[in-house]
Amino acid sequence: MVRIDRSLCVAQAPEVLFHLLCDPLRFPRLFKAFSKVEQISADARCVGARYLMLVRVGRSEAGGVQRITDFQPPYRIAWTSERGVELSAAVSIRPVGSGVSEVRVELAYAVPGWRPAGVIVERLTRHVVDRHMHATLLTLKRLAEFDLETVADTERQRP
Amino acid sequence: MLAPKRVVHQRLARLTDREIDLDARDPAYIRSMLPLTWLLASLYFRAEVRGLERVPKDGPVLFVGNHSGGNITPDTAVFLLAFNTHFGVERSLYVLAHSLVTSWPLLGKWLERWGTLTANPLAARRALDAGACVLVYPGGDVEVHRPWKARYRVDFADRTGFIRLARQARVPIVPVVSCGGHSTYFPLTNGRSIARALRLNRLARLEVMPISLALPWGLNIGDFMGHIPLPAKIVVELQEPIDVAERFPRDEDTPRATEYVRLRMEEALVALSAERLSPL
Repeated sequence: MVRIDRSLCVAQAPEVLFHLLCDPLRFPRLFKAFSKVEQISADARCVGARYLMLVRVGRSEAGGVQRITDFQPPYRIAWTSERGVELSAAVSIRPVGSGVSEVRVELAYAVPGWRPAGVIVERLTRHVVDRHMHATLLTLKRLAEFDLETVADTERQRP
Repeated sequence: MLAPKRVVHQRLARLTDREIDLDARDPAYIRSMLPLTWLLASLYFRAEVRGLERVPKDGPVLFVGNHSGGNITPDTAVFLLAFNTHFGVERSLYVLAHSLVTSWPLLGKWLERWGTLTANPLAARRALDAGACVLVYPGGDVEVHRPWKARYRVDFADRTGFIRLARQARVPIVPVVSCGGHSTYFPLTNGRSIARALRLNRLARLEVMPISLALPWGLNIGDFMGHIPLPAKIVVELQEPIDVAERFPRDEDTPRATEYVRLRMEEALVALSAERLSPL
C-alpha cells in the first residue's frame, strides 16, 4: 500500500477552492494528470455518486470506478475505489487565516495482481503519483489565485 | 578558475548602448551547426520540444526559461536547435547569459555567433526593439546550480526585471519549461554561503559556489571547467503566451506578475517530471 500526503497553502477562501474541486468532470480540463473522467451514476457531486477516473502513469492510464464517500462543502470530499486499482483519497480544505486556506490531499493505493511485481510497480509509481498530486495542487493554486476567469470561461464553453 | 576581477568589471563597464553588438549573431554559422546540434540533442539527450506552435508567428517575443545542469546546460542547446529549425535562422533569437560566460575569450566569441548577449536590460531591450526574440533565464546562476532536491523548483532568485522589460517593450512572455537537465549531474549544494564568504558577488557577480558530483572530476567545486553531462532525456515545453502589459499593467503588479509566471512554469515542470519513471 502506497500512502501519499501533500498540502499547499492557497490565498483563497475554502468556498472557492471547494467549487474548483467538487466536480470531478472538470478535472481533465483543469488538471493535466487526469486523462479521463466519466460520470456513471445518476447522482453527481454527492455521497454515493460514482465516476470513472483515469490518471496517466508512465506509458499507461490507471484508475477505475470511484465512489464519493464523503461530501462536506466547503471542507472535505473523499472517495474510494469500487473497481480497478484499490484506492482511497480525500481532499481537505481548512482556513488558516487572512484569506488563506490549506488544501491537503491524502491518497492511498495498492496495485492488484502478483505481489512481487505489484511491490515494484508501487515503488516506481509512488514518485510519479506524488508529482501528479504536486502539479495538481500547483494548478489549483494558480487557478484560484490568478485564473478564476479562465475557469468561468471554460465552464461557459462546456457543451 | 575565476575570471579576473578587472576583466569582468571592465567588460560590464564598457557595455554601452553603442557596443551591444546584435550583428555578431551569425545565421549562416548557426545553420551550419544545426546538424551537429541535432545529433547531440536527438541521440545523446533524446530531446523532445513541445508547444512551438504557441509562439506568435512573427514579431518580438520574450522567452522566459528555467535552466538546469550547472554550467553545461543542455536545455539551451535543445531550445536553440528547435527554434532555429522551426522558424528558420532568419528569425533572430538572442540568449542572455551571465557576464562570466561571455567574458571567456574564445567561448564568448563562439557564443556571440549563436546570438548570446551579456545579460543586461539594455541589451534585451535593444534586441526586442529590433524585432528579435530574446531568451532570458531570470534565475541565472542561482537557479542553474540549485541542489538536486530542488530540481523540480523554478527559482527566479527574486529577480523581476523581465516583467518590467516585457511591459515596457510591450512584448508577450512565452514561458519555456525544461525538464531533465538536472539529471545530467548531481548537484549537492549551490554554496551561497561560501560565495558570500568569498565575496564572489562583488568580484564576479556570482551568487553561488556550487559543489556537485560530475564526470570526469568526481567532486566538482565551482563547475568552472564544466563537466561531461550524463545522457538524461531533455523535454522542453513552451507554454501559452502571457500578455504582461494587459494582465499586469501597473508597476506595483510586478511581484504578482513574477509569481504568476513562476507558478505557471513550476506547475508545468512538475507535470513534466511526472512523465518520467527514472531520472535518466
